[in-house]
Amino acid sequence: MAATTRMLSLARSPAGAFKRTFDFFRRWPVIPGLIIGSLAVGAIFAGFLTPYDPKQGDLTARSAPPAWVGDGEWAHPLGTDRVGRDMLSRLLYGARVSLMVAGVAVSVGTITGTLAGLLAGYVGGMVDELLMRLVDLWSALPFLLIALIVAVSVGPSLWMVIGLLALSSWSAGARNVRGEVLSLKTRDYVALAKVAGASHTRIMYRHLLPQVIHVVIVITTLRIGSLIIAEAGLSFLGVGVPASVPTWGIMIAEGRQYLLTAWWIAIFPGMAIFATVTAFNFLGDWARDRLDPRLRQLA
Amino acid sequence: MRRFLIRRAVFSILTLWGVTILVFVLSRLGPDPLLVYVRDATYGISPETIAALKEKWGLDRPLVVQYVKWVGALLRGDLGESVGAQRSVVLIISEKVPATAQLAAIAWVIATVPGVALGVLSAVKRGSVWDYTARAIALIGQATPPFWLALVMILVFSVQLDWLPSATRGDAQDPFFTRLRHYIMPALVLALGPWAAYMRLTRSSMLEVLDTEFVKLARAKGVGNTVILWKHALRNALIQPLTVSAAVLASFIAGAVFVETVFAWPGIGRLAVQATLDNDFPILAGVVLMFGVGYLALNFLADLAYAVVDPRIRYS
Repeated sequence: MAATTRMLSLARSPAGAFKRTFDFFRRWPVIPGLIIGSLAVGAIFAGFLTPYDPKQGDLTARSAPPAWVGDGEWAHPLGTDRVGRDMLSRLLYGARVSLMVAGVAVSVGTITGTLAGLLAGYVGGMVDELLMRLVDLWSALPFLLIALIVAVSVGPSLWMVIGLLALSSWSAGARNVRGEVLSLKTRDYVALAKVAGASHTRIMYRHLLPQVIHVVIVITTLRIGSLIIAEAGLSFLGVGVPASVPTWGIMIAEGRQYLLTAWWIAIFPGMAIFATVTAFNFLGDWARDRLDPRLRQLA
Repeated sequence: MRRFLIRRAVFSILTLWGVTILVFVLSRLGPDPLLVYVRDATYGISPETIAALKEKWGLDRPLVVQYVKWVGALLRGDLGESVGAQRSVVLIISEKVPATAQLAAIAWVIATVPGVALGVLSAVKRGSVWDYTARAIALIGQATPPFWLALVMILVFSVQLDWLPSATRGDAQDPFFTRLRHYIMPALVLALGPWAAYMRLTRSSMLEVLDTEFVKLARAKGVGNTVILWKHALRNALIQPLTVSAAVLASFIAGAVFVETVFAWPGIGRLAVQATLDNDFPILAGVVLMFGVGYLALNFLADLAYAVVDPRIRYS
């Protein structure tokens, strides 16, 4: 009774309001959600949100500083680069590339990895052994260097980057899904499904997949951040997306030469990467704690 | 133990073989195999020259023959000749190894010792200022692109504060401490990612171990806190960070490429990027294989360490 009264009084007092807001922020990933949400909106509607063309420079406004620095103007809130292209517009269009590359790569990687894990765990035997050795081999490959070789033989392109990142991201999922399936398939309900005449495909799709989907979600969210950094890195080295496409990595590479005179060209894209990756990592941590705390060792 | 080591050794060799196949297949993936040797392979070169060049690198032969010849040469320790410099790739790479090895060794120490120590501290003093600070730095370490962090550090410590040199390894004639200053920023940037990984992993597995029955028993028996932490708990908690050493090492390789590019460090990472921009396949393949060998060797060592720390591995 006393506890209830205390709770009621807490609920009404300003301190209680503060505590409730605090708890709400701790319980739900509000800030990461806002960051990712506004990025997604900005990326999708970049064409409507900004009056500038991300590839077309205004030579009369070259290297304009951000609005709050020196003689910066609000026409270009985050300034312009060396050929007078608006930084904010390029950041938004860059978000489009980053999110798309990471999104497609992680989807392809996740689907392949999940399928491989399901198969290896459920079928077992030679299939399992083969797939798992492949996973071992895969996680031993230095992917950045492999990417360099592909960049030389095929040349920089968006699809090359997506393909490479997808290739690099299936193995972790496969291993974890397999581990889950190995223990799940010994359960009674799987045996019952078999008795009831369910086919192997049906058992995998209807009875096992829903049980491992939480593992897949956690691994996927935790993976996106590192894929965004990887894409930016390839672009930074000049071996990723073609230089004409505005991406965060290419912007940093361009700004690197003007670090002394126009720091904002290199600094803002990096901050965008940092915010996005942190948001995805937080979201992943949250999903993990929510869905499967046992996966804590992963991150 | 012996069987375990033999299995790992065989697997390392198979992996290396897989890497050669992958490197070869990827290098022939493009529209024109000449592209991996010459930039703009079709531009302004006469058909006779193209034919002569293809013959020179054996590109006119069937793919299988090309691969077998290439691997045969590799087995004899012959990585071919660089296209640009026209010198032996083995020589070029061996000139660049020391710079990268030194940098990586320093970064390795910076990453592991404070990483594990802070992980322990963070777990023991859970919820303290130490814990939050360490976790915040780890968070930054995992979300910051290394090449951007390098630029920010140059901007702050070289341009604004003028404390540290912004690039290169320094002159060989310089006094020791002047040269040492060149190592500080590259080593820190290279170490941050692995440091964060070690810290987070040590923290989480330490928390888990401290919660186990045998630690409680040790406490009940009256074993001192120091002994419990460093002998009972840490030894078990180290298994987890050791198993991911492979991934940490991989991030070192990627990190070296970026750090050396930004800090103009005369090492293998920068050599690889330069070879990519110059379409110099022999050098690039040499670097990839060298990293592959180094990586597998270190991985093997990690497995050994793993067996030493965890007796269960030895006897299974």
